[in-house]
Amino acid sequence: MATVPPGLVWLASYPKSGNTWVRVLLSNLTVGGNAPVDINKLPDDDNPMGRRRFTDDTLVDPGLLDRRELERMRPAYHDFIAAQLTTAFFCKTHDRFSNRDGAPSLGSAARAALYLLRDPRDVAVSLSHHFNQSLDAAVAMMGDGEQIFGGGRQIRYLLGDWGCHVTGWIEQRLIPVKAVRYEDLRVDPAACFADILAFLGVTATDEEIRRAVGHSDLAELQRQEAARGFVESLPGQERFFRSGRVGEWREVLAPRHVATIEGRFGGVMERWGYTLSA
Amino acid sequence: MNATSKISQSYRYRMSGLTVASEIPLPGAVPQAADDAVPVDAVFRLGDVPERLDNPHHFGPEWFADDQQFLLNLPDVGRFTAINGREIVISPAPGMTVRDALPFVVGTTFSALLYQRGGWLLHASAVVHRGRAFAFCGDSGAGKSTLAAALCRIGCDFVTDDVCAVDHPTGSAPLVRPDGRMLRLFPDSIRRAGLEDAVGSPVRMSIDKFHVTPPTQAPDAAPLAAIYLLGDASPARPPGIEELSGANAAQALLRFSYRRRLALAYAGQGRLALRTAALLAHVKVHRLIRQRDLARIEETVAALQVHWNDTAG
Repeated sequence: MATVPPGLVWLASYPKSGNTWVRVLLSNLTVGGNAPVDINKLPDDDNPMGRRRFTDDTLVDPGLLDRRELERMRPAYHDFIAAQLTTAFFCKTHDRFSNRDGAPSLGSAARAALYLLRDPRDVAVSLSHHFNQSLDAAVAMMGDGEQIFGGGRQIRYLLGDWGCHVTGWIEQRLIPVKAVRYEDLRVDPAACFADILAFLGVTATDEEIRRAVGHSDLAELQRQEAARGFVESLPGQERFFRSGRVGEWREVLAPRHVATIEGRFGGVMERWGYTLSA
Repeated sequence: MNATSKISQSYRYRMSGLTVASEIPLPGAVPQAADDAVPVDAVFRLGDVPERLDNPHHFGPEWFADDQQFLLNLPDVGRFTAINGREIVISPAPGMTVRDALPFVVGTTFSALLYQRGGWLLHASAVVHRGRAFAFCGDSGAGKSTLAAALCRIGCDFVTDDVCAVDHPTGSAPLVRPDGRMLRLFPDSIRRAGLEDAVGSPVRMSIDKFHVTPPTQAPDAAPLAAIYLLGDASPARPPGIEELSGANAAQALLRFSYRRRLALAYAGQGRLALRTAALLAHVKVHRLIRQRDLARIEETVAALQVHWNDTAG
């Protein structure tokens, strides 16, 4: 049985960058069952990103707070959660690392952060499917430094633009961070996942890792979603677990989309091994 | 000392079974005529509030509770304290208006005062239909207010849209007490409920939610007939109403205590469990799975009417 050190670990990413897949991998590893975990029962009941948990811990309904007030409260809130933990807790987030005041949006008490990044050109394709919006709108969203996400049952939060999201998390020095490219995870999930586990101080056998990877295969996730839906998909969304393909942007994006993304984020992309087309 | 002697001019309210005197008006609360014959249970006043309590037995990121006091310290908003179940002191942060700080007083801080007095609160909206009260538990954002507004539209009397005080004297049937506040709704819910003419002031200047006068207010106490837990329909979970088993119902009521950590701070797990067990001897708890789409709220209202007719006793 895999053993995981106690404490809070952020699973951070810009949306549609493989975060849910890594959650499923970790869940399959820690459960260690003979069958894949149910994607509708991922350990997410008490998600600190939800309004329920925020209200429960702070005694304040975040719906009564304006953006700035909420941003002021969140670092202490997340640090409080981290300080109370006696077991391991992997928490998904799409928050930008720093808020508008330059303070860490999620505090600084997590023991580690895993940052998933993906070729922003493929992110644009996936975002347009996820939100059922045009590619132009998806590309514009990725370039909006003031982009807000969340709402409904989730706390509203600052997502910002793709480039600041990546550099904000990877270059910060408050929380030990490991950056993992989605593309590398696709090419060799077992090796990449083993690297992740080593960084997180998780001990697991090769067999346990192999089994978790098998139980988290995209085809398995798609099978479960087709059979019973996925609670985290959006209303009207056709599929959450779509193609997951690397390089799909080459067939889908127009030259203007590529030019916008590369023009804006070319420096960050090249630093992370995403070859520019121009 | 009389609780009111500290304040010269007071506004009177009836909130969750208490008569409240406040030196400042409480937007969104229904004012009462001052009556010297009616004793004041609690006072609200402006004053200094410390940053923290020294030896809290319960605490959170921005709050502290000991046997006598509860203190909420919200950065850039203000500090608020509830003392001995009798008094609330309000200290807005520099640059914050009293008015915009008050939602945290009449909600969380007043709930602490009620818990200090031994009260019991559900995070629920509630209405009265033909003399029976029905409560709808849900987390923040679950649609409690919107459902209450839709039920008021078909003639139900409004009890509360957020804090449902349950009064359960030994040997008697449980009662719910109105929180004395108006509905608080987003513009789309206001339009859907046809309550555009009843819209009052914003709940806070910076948020798009408004006080709305309900068509009719419930009396000061009404017998609680049933509790519903709001849930969203999905392809895997079709709309419907199902009764919860005793164990699940008890667990749900603990979960939906208003500001659960305050309930635990002042009542403790044991007392809450005893109260829950006593309540469940009188009241059934149901899961109400409904379409969240506002355009389909009448389907939920219709399902509830059928359920109430079927369970009329």
